[in-house]
This record gives sequence, C-alpha cells and structure tokens, in this order.
Amino acid sequence: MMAYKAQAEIISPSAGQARSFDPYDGETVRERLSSHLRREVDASFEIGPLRRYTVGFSWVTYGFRATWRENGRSVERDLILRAGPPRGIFAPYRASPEFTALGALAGSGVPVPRVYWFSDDSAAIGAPFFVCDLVPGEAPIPWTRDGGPAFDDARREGLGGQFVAALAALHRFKWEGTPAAAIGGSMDATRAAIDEVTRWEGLLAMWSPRRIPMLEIAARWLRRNAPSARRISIVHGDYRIGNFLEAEGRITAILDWELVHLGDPAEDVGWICLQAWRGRSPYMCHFFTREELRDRYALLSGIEMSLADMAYWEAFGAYKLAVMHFGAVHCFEERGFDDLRMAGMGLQIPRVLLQVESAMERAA
Amino acid sequence: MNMSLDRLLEAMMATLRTDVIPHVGDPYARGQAIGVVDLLNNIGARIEWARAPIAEAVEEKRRLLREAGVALPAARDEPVAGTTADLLAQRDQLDMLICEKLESLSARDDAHARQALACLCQHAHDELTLQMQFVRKPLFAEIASGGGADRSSGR
Repeated sequence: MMAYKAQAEIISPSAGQARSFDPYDGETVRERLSSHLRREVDASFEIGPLRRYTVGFSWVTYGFRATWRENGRSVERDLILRAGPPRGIFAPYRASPEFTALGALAGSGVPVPRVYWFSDDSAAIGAPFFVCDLVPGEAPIPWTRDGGPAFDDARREGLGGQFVAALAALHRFKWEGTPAAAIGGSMDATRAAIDEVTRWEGLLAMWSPRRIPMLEIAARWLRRNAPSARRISIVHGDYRIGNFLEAEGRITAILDWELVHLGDPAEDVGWICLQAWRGRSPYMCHFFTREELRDRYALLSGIEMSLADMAYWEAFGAYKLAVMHFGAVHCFEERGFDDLRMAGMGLQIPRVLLQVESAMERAA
Repeated sequence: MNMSLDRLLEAMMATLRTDVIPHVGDPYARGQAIGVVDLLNNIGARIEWARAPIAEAVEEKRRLLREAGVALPAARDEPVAGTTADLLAQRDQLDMLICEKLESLSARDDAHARQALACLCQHAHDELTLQMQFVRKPLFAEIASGGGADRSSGR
C-alpha cells in the first residue's frame, strides 16, 4: 500500500519554519492560536476549548470562547476559527480574500460575521486561518433524507426573500475603492466568463492527469457561448442553501466565502440553480422557480438577467462543481487527505458529469 | 474509477482508527469497529475493481476511435488484456485520443465533422450512463449533519 504521513509538513517560506497541522488535534491548534494572538493582539489573550463543526467540505471550522483586553477594557466573545487544511480540496489556501471581503461588507445589506484576525501564513497555527464572530443559527442543508423539500411554504417564502435580498445587496455593493478591489478575479466585463472557465480548466489540469471528454466538450461550449457581464460585482462563488445561517426565521449570516472573487454576478445566480442544491424539489435551492428567482433578483438588484444567461451560468456552475469533484479525488488520492467525504465525492463523478451535460443542453 | 482501491481501504482504516474508535464509548461497539479494520486490512490483497466493465469500456473506445478514423498504436489495437491497472491506463490513453479528436473536429465546420463530433459526444454520454449503474445515492444529508437532523448547528 502507498504510505502517507499522518500529518502534513508545512514549510512557511516567510517564516522559514516547519509546522504541521492536524485538524483533529484541537488542543495543539488552540495552544498555537493562543500564542499567536497573545503575541499579536494582547498578552492576556485566553482561549477556551475548541469544538469542531461537522459542516463544510473544505475549511476546518472550530468554535471557542475567548477573552482579551481592548482599549483597556476586557472583552469576552464566542468566536469561530476557520483554518485551510494543508491537504484540503483547495489547498494551498489563502485566508485574505475571504477576510478582506467580509471586512469590506461589514455594515452593508449582506449579513456577514465580524472578522478579527487572519494569516495567509502557515507559521502561526500550521495552516492559513482567520477568526470571526460566532453567529447564532443553524445551516439548512440542501440534502434531505427523502430528497423532498427542505422548507414548508411559509419558510420558503420568508427565508427565500432574505436569501435573494442578501445576494442583491452583495451584487449592488460598490467595491471600487474598498479593500475588496484586491480580492482577485476578473474586472473586464467582456472576459469575466472566459476568465472563470480558464481558471477552472487550470484547476482541472492540476487535479486530473486524465483527460475527461465530457468536461472538454463542456469547456469548449462554455468558451464559445460566453456572455459579457452587465457589470462586475463581488461574486460569492458558492452562494446556496447550506451556506447561510438561520435563527428564528431570519438569515443571520452568509457563510463560506472561500471562492469569493470579482466577476459576473450572474455566476452566483446560475450556481443557485444547480440540480445538486435542490434534490427532487422543483425550487432552486429549495426556494424559487427559475422565473421567480430572475424576477425577484432583478427587482432587488436592478440587474436584469435573462433565463438564457442564467442557463449559461448554471452550465458553468455544473462544470465548476464537477471540477471540484476531481479536486476532492486529488486531495484524497494524491495528497493523503483522509476525509472520506472526498472519496465519496469521487464516487459521484458520473452523476455530476451527466448533470454538466444536461445543464449544457438546457442552455444550448 | 479514479481512485485506487488500496488508497480507499487505507483511508477507511485510518478514519476508523483515528476519528471513530477513540470516540466510541461502548467496548463491544469498539471491538466491532476494530473488527472492521481487521477485515479491511485483510481483504485488500484479495480484491480489485471489477475488470469486466473497464475492459468493455476500453473495447468501446477503440471501436469508436477506429470509426472516427483514428489510427490506434498497435498495442492499443490488440485484444483487451492485462491487469485492471493496465486496463485503466489504456482507458486513460484512449480518452486522451478521444479528447484530441474532439479538439480537431471542433475546429472544423463541415457535415462530416459535425456527425463525428456527435458520435463522440454520444459516447461520452453513454459511458457515463453505464457507469451510473454502479453509483448509489450519496448520504450527504446524514454526513453533513453528523447523522442527525437535516441541518447543521450554528457557526
């Protein structure tokens, strides 16, 4: 059998020192984070025990209680640590795009957790990380046991309205002149789609030495049919059911900004429409028909979008999701990442490739 | 199939050893979980991915490429043979030839190219449809919720 190390050894070029990161060793992560924050923030910084959350296929998420002094006053807060595992699906990770976007969006109409500290370097805790507020709520997930609806009609209406309003606020956000201008992506409306296809083609080439006919057919089609963007916005990149928190009927936070970039806002709208986020429900992300989504979004964002545009970006989303599955296989097979959910994604590849084909046919 | 069986078995054992067994409180349940590790450790040398579907896929790809006028290197035109790993390597090489053919046909705009392109696209569809007979519905609902309800608690 192939031999894999129990822990990844990470060399941080800027720090010039090796550090390992074991997501299951919460105590070591806690000690390192404490030392880092005592050094960087406040010498009296105290962190309680870390508890790991089961959600998320990419970043590792822990909750903890922290106390420190700020401007001479004692502060006590429940916080979240998000760490990018060195062998995870999108490794090597950077925390700065997500941290910067969340910081820029604070106080906008997009509900986001307050962010505190981050590092793109692995020297501090063994992995890039950022710390933000713990926001109360639960994350409804797209997968239901029987494949049926995730919400009754009242919750569908209430949460759905907030879900699209937050997206519209994100896409209306004036990022120019804010730190979010540096998060990366495409600022050329004529190239936003092509740039994204190129980006994901590059990731596929990195993750799969094997050439996949269905994905090559799809990439060629996406290039030929790429639309121009009506505007350039901050694009969440993974905006869907499963990536927001809800408490008492209110969306309290939009989460998981790791794929955030500048680009065509239609990309987020197409992503909402993926088969993967609705099971057998007729509603996109268990919320809307395509037409309802288009109309509500246009009303709130002022951005008119045709069903054809949405279908193009849905096809792109299906392609991107399929490429992510190859990333899951790569981190499991080649990088020794033992998370069995990655292997599980690998076994679903025929299903997602057929979804790419059907999304492309609908858009053609 | 994109993953090696050895790697899958190894990761399943590692997950049980590292992430599951230490958190199982009941000694009998812990013993049974170790029994699963023992079984996984012993079956690895006895099994491989089902060979027949991969051999059929290789055969089909060769036929398709011949019909598309692609000259196959001699080794790829001989009767389908070898271990499962050999067949997977052949499949990957043939997929590369299919992708190259797709590329060249896409650059043309004549009826013959369109027809040949349609055949290759149909093959990609048919192969995935065949593979779907081995794919079971994922248990993402239970995985994401840690075996609990259809939602994940707050972050």
